[in-house]
Amino acid sequence: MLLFHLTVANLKMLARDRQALFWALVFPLIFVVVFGLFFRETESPRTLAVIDYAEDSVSAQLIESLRQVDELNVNMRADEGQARQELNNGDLSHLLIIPEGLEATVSDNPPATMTLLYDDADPLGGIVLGLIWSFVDRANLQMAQAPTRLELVPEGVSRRNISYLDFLIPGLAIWGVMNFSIIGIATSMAAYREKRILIRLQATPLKVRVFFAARVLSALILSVLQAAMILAVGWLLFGVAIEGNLLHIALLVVLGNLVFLSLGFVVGAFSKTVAAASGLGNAVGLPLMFMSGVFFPIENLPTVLRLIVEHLPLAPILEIVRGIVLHSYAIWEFPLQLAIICGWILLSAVAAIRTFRFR
Amino acid sequence: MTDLLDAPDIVIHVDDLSKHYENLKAVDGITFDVKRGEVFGILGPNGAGKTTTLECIEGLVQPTKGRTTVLGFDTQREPQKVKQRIGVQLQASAYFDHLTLREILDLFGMFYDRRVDPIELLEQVNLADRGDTTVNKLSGGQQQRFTIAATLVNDPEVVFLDEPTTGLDPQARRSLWSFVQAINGAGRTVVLTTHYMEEAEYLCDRIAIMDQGRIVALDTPVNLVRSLPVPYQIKVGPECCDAVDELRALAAVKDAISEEIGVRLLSADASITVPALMEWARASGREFSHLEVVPSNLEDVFLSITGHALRE
Repeated sequence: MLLFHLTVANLKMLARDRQALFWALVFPLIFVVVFGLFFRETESPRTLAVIDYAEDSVSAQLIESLRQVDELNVNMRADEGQARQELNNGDLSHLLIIPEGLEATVSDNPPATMTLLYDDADPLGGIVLGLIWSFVDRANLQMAQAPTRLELVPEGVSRRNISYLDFLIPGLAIWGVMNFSIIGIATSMAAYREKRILIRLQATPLKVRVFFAARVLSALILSVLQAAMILAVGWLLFGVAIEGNLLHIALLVVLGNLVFLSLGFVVGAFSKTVAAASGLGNAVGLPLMFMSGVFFPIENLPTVLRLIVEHLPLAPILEIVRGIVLHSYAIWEFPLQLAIICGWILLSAVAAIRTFRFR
Repeated sequence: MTDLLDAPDIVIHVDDLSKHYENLKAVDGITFDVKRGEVFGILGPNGAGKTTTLECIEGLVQPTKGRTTVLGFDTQREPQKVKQRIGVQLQASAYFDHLTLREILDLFGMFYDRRVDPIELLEQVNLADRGDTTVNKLSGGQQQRFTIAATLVNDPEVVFLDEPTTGLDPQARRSLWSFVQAINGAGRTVVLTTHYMEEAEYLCDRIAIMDQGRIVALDTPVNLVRSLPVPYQIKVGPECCDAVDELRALAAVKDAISEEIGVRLLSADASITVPALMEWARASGREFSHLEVVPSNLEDVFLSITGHALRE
């Protein structure tokens, strides 16, 4: 009952602390919105300009088939020089030139030569190239009346395309929780000591562990809210799909936050002032954020660094949250990562208790 | 020790208490008792060990040696029982920024078995109309009054006030004194520390004078001053400066000191010295431009015992 009242009092204090609310909720949202606007996909289809010197039934059939391809915007041109110029300027991504007398060459040798010009800096250039290539192959086979002996049935393994924002937003949700928990707890511990509130509490019959249990409980509640808000904004504003079980995400946030809160207590114990607590909190949080894969996959790290980072608390949490959010995995499908997180919960909690001091 | 429990008029017993830090003996073997219903003052300069002494009794600091009991409970063995029954005001301690006065008192009340209604507490310290504001919106005097209210949430039998008026202006200090007297008037034992001599003299029934971790004197304010070899000082005008030797020879005068504004006579007994002084004036045909009898104060007591001033 006392625990409940203390938790309510703590939530009240958090709700009235505008600065804390800014860092807890607004600051991560600013990050989300800025990154969201930066990396929003511009899904304009590739424009394929076609210059048809043949203008016969075969070329018409070819152009008609190309029009069927969703990713291509087929655009008929007459002026080859101008089209080449546009391609050089980057206004066009692909230019297909169909030579004269296509129909006539179908049965004869040598074969007709079509030319495809494309911007090879365009990451999707190759895909369009492949499309046209397969179309040409198919046309060749048909014209040669060769029977189809091999058939390839493509089946997408990934249920959907994962954009950078899909990757980033769940990471930012965890980062927001981590950042606020480490710095929030560390600064409030330093403030409580500076104002001698902890000693004042020690002078009452209240057991200090009850006070901290309430502080941790209220922080856990806030962190679930925080993560929910960040994911919700990602979903509403930028269409990030939240696929997995929300309860599993909440459970993960709570587990992860136990580590972050304990780290916050440790940082707070080593900080003489509130300013020092905030600085030291950042010194712990920022390297974790940059190394652990909030912004890029840790697979890109050098092997040694990656092995270290994989065993720090943040990376396993990020891996699980992305697994749940993007691929609908269940939380227990990550036993190794969970083991690392639980190890950190134990380690950091022991450190928090051993470093704690009243003054 | 058992006879202590049989003595109902003793609420606090401190026995050979020491608290040593690495290279500092903050408290160095002190022993004293506090009686039920009295205002007990610990007077001394900063760093004398007053706060450490209180914190040992309250159970906030583990003593190096010795023991303390409050209301018959050993602070070290049964700290919870002690804490249930005492009220503690700490020096320079603040409360939560984002809770109102009423919410703070409500919350602190929950820590105790016995609790008092917050409104009633705020009324006692004239803050009833500020119940819905936060501590940081109060003036210094109001904040100090609030901390007094907060020490009373559990209706304690013993109240500890650590330098309750430090940092307050003289008017706020006077007003706080009346609240301390009211707490005491309600039958509570009050233990306070101070480095203000007037405060100790005005509020306390008994005073322990501390210096460098030791109690150098302990008695009622009146007895402390009486114990001085010169409990009175008689001041006369500058026209007597030429007759210092004659004045020094007067009955009960220990010394006569010539100063710019006149002569100061240190007297062992003013009731003997004053008539002798009058007789001397009549005989030598002098008239005093100034004549003043002042009792020595605790400042003089401190100076006389320790050899240095209370505030340096």
